[in-house]
Amino acid sequence: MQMIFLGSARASRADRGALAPVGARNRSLNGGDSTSPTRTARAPSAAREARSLPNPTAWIRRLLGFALSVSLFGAVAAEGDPVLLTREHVDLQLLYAPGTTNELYLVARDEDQATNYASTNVVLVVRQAGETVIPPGFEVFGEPGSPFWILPASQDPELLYLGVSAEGIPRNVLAEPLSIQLVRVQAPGWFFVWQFDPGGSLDMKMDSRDGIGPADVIQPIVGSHAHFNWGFSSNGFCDVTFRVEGRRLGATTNLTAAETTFRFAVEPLPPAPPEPAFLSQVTASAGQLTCELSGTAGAVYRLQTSPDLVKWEDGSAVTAEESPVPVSVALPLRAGALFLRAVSP
Amino acid sequence: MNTDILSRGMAVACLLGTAGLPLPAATPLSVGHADVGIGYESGAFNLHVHDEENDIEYSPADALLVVGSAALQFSPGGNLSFLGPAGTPVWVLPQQQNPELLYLGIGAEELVPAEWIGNIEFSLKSVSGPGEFFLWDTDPFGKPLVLMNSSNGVDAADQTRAIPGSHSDYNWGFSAPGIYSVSFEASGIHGTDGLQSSGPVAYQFEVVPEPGELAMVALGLGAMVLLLGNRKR
Repeated sequence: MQMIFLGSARASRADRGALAPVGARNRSLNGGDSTSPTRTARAPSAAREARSLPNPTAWIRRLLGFALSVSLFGAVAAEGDPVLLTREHVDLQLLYAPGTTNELYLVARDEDQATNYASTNVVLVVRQAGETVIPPGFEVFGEPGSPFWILPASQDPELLYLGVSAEGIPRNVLAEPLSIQLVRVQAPGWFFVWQFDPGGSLDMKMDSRDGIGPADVIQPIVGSHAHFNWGFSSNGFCDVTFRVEGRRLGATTNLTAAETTFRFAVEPLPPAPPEPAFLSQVTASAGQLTCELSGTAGAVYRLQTSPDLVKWEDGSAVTAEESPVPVSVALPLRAGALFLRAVSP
Repeated sequence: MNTDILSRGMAVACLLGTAGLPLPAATPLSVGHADVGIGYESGAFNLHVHDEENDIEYSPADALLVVGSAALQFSPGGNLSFLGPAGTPVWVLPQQQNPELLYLGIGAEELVPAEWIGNIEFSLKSVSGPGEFFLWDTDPFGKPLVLMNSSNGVDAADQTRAIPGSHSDYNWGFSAPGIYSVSFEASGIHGTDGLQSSGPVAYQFEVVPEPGELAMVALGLGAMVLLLGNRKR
């Protein structure tokens, strides 16, 4: 008796969560009924540090389809693709919703369209036009000469013009200052927010490089707005989590405010991981297991076999095409289980 | 603060009175966010002052843009030496909001981007007052970008761009206290109306000296107001 499992997986350097059985059979594989394989769940993507990408937008849309599934507002995340903001005038805007479970929160407000987006529905894009190098004297950002990406405080029509606004907060209701506290940065590099004062001194507001603490804060003026320089030491996705802190005048406790994570997409984005492979049309004859592999055309998948789901042995590499590609592996001489999977590197 | 406002009002009344301009005096704007607004109505530019705090629009002659005494700084020299050698006093409405000062920008938010070909050129045409006028921006590494500087004359180089539908905040500097009339002109290419220009439009600024001096000046001006008032009777 042979058991053969077909699986597909991605980014399985550690083989973690990589196997997804798609069809199990306990008889000879010559039987005609082929169990329909089902598409497997995607594993987390890897290699975000890579630096070339043919189609960033498509990649972002694909990735965001599942990556931004957590709603931070206690509401259901809207369906559909997130909106990519690339060159608009956008403010991270504070909103006050007394009596709700989240009384102070942040949205991304497209000032050009007067539209508010929940953080989960938007991606703040740092276009490649924002790439520069760290000049001498600015070691605070990293080694001079290193690449650095900036959304500047002064508008560059090629780039997102990102500010912070408390224009929607009523006056004389909340104690000042309000604080937008940096909580967490998940990114391949550092995240910075700063201004220069009129005397030319750098006023660092947020700096993940020296650790994240109470000093990493923006304190917007109620009824007003401000522009900042936003810096990133690496391209790729940068997920930045903020928490708003504020209280009503005379109150002794803060208003409830959930953490809000905004995603910055710093271009160029890493190459999109290929779709998981898909193995189907299984047959076995003459000591060979044959099936068809479908996947992202042009992507290379590695076949792997295992007798026990623990020890995996590399087989041949298969380049997916527009139509399914036949693949085959030798069946074991003795009866036993054979597990087959295709992984993307 | 009340005496501040009172003396300022008197100073304005006095100066406008002596200049022969019609009263009542212009409304002083001394804190909060305001824009030098660029609008386009009925086929012509409309330059105005937009009080963003109260959403009130003033014609430039009806608003006095106050540079409070807290604006006093001293040139650090270096790449800010266009303001004068290190130690030169300069009164600055800063690009980063100081709640004690007017937060002044240039706003073209009323313009419909699709109606304009390219950006709006916003030019300095003249400065009259007791000192020089500076407008500058700061790049992400702190380098000042001097947009307007009257100390070397006013010419075509004294200009910045305004992006239709957007606004920008700048540093506004003055080298001496007193009343200024600063004229700006907006020009741009309208998709259907062609090249448009506002012509020079005068904006009124008042740079308030340090409190110590202020008291003295206010006293003097107050006396002048009284004298003038008496004469009229």
